[in-house]
Amino acid sequence: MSATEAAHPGAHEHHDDHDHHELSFWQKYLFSTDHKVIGVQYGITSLIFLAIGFFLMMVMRWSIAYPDRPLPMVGDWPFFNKWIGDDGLVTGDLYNMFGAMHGTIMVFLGVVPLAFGAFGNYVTPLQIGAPDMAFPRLNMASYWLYLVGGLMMFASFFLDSGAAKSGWTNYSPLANITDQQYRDLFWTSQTQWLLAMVFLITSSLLGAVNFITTIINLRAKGMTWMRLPFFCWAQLVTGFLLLLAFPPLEVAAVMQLMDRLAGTSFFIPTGLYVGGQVVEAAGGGSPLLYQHLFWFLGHPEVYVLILPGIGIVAEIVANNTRKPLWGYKTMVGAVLVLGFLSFIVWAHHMYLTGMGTAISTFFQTTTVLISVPSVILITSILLSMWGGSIRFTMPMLWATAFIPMFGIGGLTGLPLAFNLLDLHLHDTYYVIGHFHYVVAPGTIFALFAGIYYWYPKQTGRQMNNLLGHLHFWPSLICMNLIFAPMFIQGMAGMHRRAYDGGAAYEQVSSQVYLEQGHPLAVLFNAIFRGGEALPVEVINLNLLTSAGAFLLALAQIPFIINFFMSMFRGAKSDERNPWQGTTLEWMCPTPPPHGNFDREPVAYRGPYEYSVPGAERDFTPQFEPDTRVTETRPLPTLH
Amino acid sequence: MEIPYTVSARRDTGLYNAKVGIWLFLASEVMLFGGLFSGYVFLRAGVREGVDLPWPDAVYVHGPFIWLGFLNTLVLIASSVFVVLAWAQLKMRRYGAYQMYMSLVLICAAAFMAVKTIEYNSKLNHHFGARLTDGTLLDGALVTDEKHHCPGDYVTFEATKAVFSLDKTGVFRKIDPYFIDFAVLKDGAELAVKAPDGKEVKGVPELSNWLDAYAAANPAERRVAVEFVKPVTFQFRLKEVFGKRVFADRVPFFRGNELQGKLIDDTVDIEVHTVDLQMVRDEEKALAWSYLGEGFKAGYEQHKKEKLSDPLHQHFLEKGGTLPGRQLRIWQHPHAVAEHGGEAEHGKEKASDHGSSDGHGGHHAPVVSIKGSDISFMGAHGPKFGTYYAIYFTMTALHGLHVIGGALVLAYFLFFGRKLYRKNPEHLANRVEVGGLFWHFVDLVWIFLFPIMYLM
Amino acid sequence: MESSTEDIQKHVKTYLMVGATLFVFTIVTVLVRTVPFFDFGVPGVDAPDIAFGLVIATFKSSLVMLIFMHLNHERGLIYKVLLFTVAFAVGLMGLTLFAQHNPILPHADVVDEQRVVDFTAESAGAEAAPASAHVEAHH
Ligand code: HEM
Ligand SMILES: [Cu+2]
Repeated sequence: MSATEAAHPGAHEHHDDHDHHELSFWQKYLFSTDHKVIGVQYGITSLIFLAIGFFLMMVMRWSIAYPDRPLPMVGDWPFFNKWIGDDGLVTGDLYNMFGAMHGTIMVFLGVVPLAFGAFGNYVTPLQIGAPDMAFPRLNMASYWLYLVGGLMMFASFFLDSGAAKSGWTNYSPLANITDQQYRDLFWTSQTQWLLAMVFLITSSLLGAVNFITTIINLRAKGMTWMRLPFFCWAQLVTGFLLLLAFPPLEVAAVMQLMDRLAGTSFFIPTGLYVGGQVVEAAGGGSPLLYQHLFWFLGHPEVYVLILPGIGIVAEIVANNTRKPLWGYKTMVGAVLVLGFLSFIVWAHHMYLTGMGTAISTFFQTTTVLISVPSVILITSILLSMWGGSIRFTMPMLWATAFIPMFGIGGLTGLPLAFNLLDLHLHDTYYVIGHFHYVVAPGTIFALFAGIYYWYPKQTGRQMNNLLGHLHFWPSLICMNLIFAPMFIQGMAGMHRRAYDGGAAYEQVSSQVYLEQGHPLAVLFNAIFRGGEALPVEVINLNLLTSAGAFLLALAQIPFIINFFMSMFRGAKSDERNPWQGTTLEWMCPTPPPHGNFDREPVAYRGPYEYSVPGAERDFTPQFEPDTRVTETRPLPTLH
Repeated sequence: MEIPYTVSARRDTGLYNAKVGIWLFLASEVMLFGGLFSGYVFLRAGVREGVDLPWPDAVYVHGPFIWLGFLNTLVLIASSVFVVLAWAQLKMRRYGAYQMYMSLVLICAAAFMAVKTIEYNSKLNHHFGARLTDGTLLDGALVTDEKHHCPGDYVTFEATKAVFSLDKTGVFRKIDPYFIDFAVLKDGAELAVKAPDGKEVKGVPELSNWLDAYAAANPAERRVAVEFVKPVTFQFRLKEVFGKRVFADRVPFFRGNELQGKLIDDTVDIEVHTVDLQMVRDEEKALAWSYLGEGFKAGYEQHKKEKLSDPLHQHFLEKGGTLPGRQLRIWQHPHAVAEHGGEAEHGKEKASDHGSSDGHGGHHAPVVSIKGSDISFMGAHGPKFGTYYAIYFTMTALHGLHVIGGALVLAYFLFFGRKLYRKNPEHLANRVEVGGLFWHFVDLVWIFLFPIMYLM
Repeated sequence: MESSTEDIQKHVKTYLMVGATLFVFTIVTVLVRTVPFFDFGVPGVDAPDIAFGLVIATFKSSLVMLIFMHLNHERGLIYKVLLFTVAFAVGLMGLTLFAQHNPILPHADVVDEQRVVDFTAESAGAEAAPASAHVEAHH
């Protein structure tokens, strides 16, 4: 089908006819082919999914913190009363379901669509000076496939079997054999997960084809590769990651579907026992095949999660420090190297699957190597701030916070890269802490930064500053409250995916290495504990984390108010360039019309010409023909 | 608003949009099939000798149908030539010739799918294999006969009691007592049980409800046994059953449910084309011989001796190769069987040469009735029947979907291209070029699929 | 490039030739595996058969790519994309295979007896016996 679409992109030539008569409401807002409308659609849908994912997480956090107390408030809602125990406690099944779906929704339905789908769609064509995406109808198809996949995922909660319960990684053979108790395996959790995934993957693939083509072929006059804003570079590399890493996951999904529905044994080894009986299958398959195929996507996927974020932060930092991005070319090189390397590190998620020393060494080496470009990126951004007179606008606050948060996430990845350390840390809360630092206070902060930054472009109004601060500071504190303790818990050996938060392994009097009351007592006693059990101090950190999670939810309220209120009440910023930016999106009218530009966009210079010596103003936009001309000379309009 | 470079190429990249798009799409397709081929290699290289089912020799699997695969390869190559010719005609602005070539492409696509259907049908409905409990693999065709009714592989079991699992924990949270799904009641007999409390429950849905209620009322109990009011005869297809499932006095089911009573009949008739002893520890005592008789055993031994004395073969054995001598292809080695194989228990005298009507060995292959208790699993050569069949069906089916998708696109260009041709012939030529690129890719995948699935 | 009709006519000839070559090589692969006379090595599949089949398939597919898909004169950009794609596909296949063939311990069921003995001897030696005895046990 995608071939069909890709094969006749010319069909949108008829659009110029449409331009002349008014589009109906449906064409304009629902079945639109305009990249900005599609971007907004992606944005709103993914924000809703983020909220759903957040809600699932809160239920899980309750169960972890208070495994012996009934779930408050939602316990007797229609869906819950089916899954919750008679005592009102969160059951293992419910926890597993929410855990798996939290991961799935956040990664595939929340962050990627927001970062790549929404920001990519809205900003990329504007920044490269294109009238729209290369294949607008394909673009619309991507969104609708995404929505269908998302709705299928969501609907699966209400099946008899509930939603998928085998973790967001859906490892076989667990995911193969689950739901055997239901008569029709088609209408069960895991099968529906796989089918929904096929939609989401197709959507991402079409999106990736579209983005890459747009960036390659629709750059405006003068927009050479080295004048491309860094955000577009990040999107380009992200596009390639999606394009080339997703198909093997599709293979894994198809194979798992076959295992479930057609009775094949791709992932079922000979003589597998389940529930005391040999599984009814021919055998000969391999669960490791699933893991390889999954992580071949899985690792590039984590860069899909972070690269657009880095791109957004780079834009905002340059704009608010009023300085060129430090080491722009190096950053471009780094992001390309990073994209390449991310395809050959995947088995660092599989150190514990019985791989030998030679292959582990290979993946350990590449994994350590990949941190080099990551560090280059983050260092360049940090150095860009050096000596700048920074405007701490709302977007800049978020972008600034992103840097150390992403830094912590990245640096805690390094120990995991080493085989020897990972044997201890694998599948503990340490890993949870690691990747959440990258994605939650990392990517999510970058995405908030982006929302605050480009909001005025679409609405013509600024978001409220006070509410912004009320959103930012509590969020920053809560994020750290949530994720910092996880490192300690992980090092103490607390396993992830335990619905009682490790209470079953609690040991009341742990061996003590440091006196209670010593500032480092918790840390030391936890890490150097004697015996196999978890010290109670470690388990008690759950309370801190969960409290942080609930407070974080409250901290989002100002944002929601701000987001809607500012559309009507926000300070007007009608002019095209409220932040005095240099890239092409600040050249088009606010909000940009269908077709984007009212005169031909031409890039005369690099993307970050801030504070050029001798220039009249502290920014020289890409679209300005001559630096010495101070008052804007009107360019000939095209239409 | 107009999107630039939909028809003409951009100067610096030298490409029009759709061409960039299709190549990117093909790149992702390369990764898709790359993943599948990786799966193939991984599974094949991962076969553990004597533990997993051996990877079959593809030439044997397909037998005479190998010519169908061959034919399909030629058909696809021809269609690839036609599609590029169609494009060349458009470039020369000869619309009529374009239409002719494009129609040929579509005819090829239809032929390809038709052949594919024949092939699938033969695998799913004729070829049949059974692995016996000692590792013997008997391959051949399922026999349908009077005695067993069509399709000849029913197990008949007279049940007096049933045990239902009430397990509510973990994965098995909710019970499904209804093995009745795949066990049918013979001759429309009615299901009536006597509950422990003496109550009589009649009919399948009522039984389900009663079990649910019982489970709710007795949370501590894990199983409940009920008696049938009068013995009920069940029939179920052994084809669907894996594992050692049928005993003289009970049939356990996957979820812990069980039928108890008396086994009436569980034999399966198979026309044997190949005896494969690669997974058998003691070939002398292989179960195969108790069915096929001493004659075949002698034939097998001689066949193996011949193999072993072959110096070339010896050389490969030393290098750690497997021993094809442990597969006796009755249809490939009629001479080996002809001398000895006269007295197979149920068998006819000898195997004919291959290539006769139904595939392997025609009607002269021995037919044996195998006891259900000797079978560890069996089935048609569908995707269930081992990893080779799994990957074969998955890959060829996905490839088939690509053929269908590509053909639909090309059909669109053929039937709805005229208007665009009048307006802008170059645009149509571009589209056909792009569609053609996809079509060539589909051909290219088949060029690899054919040898690895049919020849090696 | 294909501007004039004559040019294209010439291409058409090439396409037909390539089609014929593909036919011929298809026949060759099939003959090698089905007619015992042409079979490499021992009857049945073996390494030479697989190698030969794959070489022919690779040759055929390169013809399709170069001539039918015009990769003999395409733009640099497309080569770059394909180069990386092929590299990643090879990486996927190669590294998974590598991982499969480098397990941390040999599979329990394919461990030959000699190695099992060695393994226990070594651990026993490390615990109880002096180093020299351990070495002796080894040889
Ligand atoms: C600086 C470079 C990084 C290194 C060296 C690194 C290393 C690792 C390693 C070795 C693991 C496996 C741990 C285990 O399961 O035992 C891991 C897990 C993970 N990493 Fe990273 N990482 C890095 C950056 C990132 C980034 C940028 C993200 C983006 C979101 C990320 C997301 C994840 C996720 C989601 C997991 C856990 C997956 C799961 O098991 O569910 N990492 N990381
Ligand atoms: Cu990773």
